[in-house]
Amino acid sequence: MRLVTYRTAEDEGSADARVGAVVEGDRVIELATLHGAGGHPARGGMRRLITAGPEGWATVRDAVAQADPSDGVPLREVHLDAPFTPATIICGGANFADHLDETHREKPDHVEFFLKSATGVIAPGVDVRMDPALSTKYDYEVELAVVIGVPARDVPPERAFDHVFGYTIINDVSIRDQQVIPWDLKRFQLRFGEGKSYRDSAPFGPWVVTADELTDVTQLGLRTRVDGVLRQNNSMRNIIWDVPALIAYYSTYMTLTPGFVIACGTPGGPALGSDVELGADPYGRTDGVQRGAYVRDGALVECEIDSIGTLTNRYVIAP
Amino acid sequence: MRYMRFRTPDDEVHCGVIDGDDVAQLDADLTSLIRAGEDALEAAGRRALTKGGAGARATLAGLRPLPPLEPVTVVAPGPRIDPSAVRDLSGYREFYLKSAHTVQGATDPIPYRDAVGTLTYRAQLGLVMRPGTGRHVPVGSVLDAVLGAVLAAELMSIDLLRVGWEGTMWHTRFGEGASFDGSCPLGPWLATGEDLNLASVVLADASCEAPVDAATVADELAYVSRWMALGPQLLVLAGSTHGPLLRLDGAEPLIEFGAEEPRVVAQGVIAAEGTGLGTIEAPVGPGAAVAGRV
Repeated sequence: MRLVTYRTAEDEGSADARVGAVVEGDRVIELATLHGAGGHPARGGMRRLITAGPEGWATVRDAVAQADPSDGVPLREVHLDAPFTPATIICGGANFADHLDETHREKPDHVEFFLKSATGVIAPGVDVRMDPALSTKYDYEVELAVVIGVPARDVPPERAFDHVFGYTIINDVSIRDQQVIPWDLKRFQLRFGEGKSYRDSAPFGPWVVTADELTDVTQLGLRTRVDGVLRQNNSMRNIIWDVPALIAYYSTYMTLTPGFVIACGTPGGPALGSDVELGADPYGRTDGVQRGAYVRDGALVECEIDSIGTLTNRYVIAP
Repeated sequence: MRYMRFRTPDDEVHCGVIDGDDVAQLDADLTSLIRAGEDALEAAGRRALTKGGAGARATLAGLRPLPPLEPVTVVAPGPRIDPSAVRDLSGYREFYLKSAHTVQGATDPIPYRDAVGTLTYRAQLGLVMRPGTGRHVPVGSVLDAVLGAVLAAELMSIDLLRVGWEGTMWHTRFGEGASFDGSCPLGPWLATGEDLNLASVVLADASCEAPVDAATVADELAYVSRWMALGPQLLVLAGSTHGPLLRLDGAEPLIEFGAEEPRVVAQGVIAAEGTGLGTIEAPVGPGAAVAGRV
């Protein structure tokens, strides 16, 4: 299923959004209309659906399969919210070789493990407001976001996918002059708090594709375009620690609960990879990626992942 | 007033305002009231107290405290900067995040697992700000925006909270070292209004007993507000006078835990106290389930 959180024109001003499934003809069927007043896993938002577990998901899936698409509203006529607010966003960085190479990093013994505040989540189409008092080096990072649906603790890699609800896209917006701090002439401190968690730092969406529909994430292409120019271009087949490895590693230290999101890391091509001042080595690429500067005022950033879609946000200067 | 969430001996979950040896039940959800702001919270508390015998009450003793807050994000101050360093390290100040799922009640067992190694902890203030406090709050006025405070016993792993290198870049591994299950016990209550006097709070844990320095707390809140909007969705930890230290060992950065920091492993106990904020006393034990929340 492709699940969205959305509002229609008549919902303007309402605090509550709807949860729907995108069906044939790109029409959205509201899940709450598919069941009687006795209750529905999606009442209360997508987080409640995620915590309903495999039986609840199956109930919804069966109901959606029987729905009449003509009962839905056109997807192009609804306003998308972020699919949900994650319980926790775990970020795994240093996970693509081309990003390590361009930032003069070596593969660490363990995948990077930092958290990104869910207070920074914004919807597709909402502006990323760049605060010039905070940073002049706003960047982009396309990442596959894995949504946990079944609690995971000490999970072996071969059982990792049993714990996945679905997938979406996250743009791990980064402010590099707050993240990468010169330590000496050639070395740097990475601050993941200041560099990754602030206003509008986590565009998220546009929808969640459930794991029963997206069964193989190992070959998905990831791309970012800034004002139409290709800036990132890679594939999940080149990831260093794959989805099962990430789930296994993180679940060693924390119980991954329904609603957790794991951002799997970004490939080479962010503007940081061209920032010689912050230690970058902007080697030439032959895959169509054009290296460029940090995001300018008004730029349109499109983060695309195969089989999921495109997450689009404009970056604007706003104090 | 002092507000708490609790589980009764009959396994029911409620929230209420403390009145002597009793807890007078609120007529609304505490998290919603906190997010609505001070006036709504206080009004609900007054309604509960003025009901007298007509309102639902529970005896405070015998209740299992639940975390008074359900923040979206917990923000904590990074390592203290070694004051004896020859080189100025102040530019390497940082904050870090703890997963909201680490929040648990003041007496809930800490679900220890071998992977986290030796634990340490420190008593902290957990500060909740008024709705709409926002960003770039001046240090001179930020304390005026405090809605309430809760006691926290912030756990870290001595074995895992260390510097990790990736070629030319280093960072402190807060993910493994500070966001494991159960690493943020809170409670037992949220103190607001006349029941909260930051200037008189003394934090005590196994390592030390020290008054909160209001200037340090204000500095931390103002610092975080440069990045994130302060408000009920954030819980900001501050006020402890000890914890990990960022040092230079020769030319290399180093995270150090002094000999005075408590060491706890499985079968230990975490104990902390704050003036007017109650006590946290939680056993460390294996395997407790973490339910998470919707």
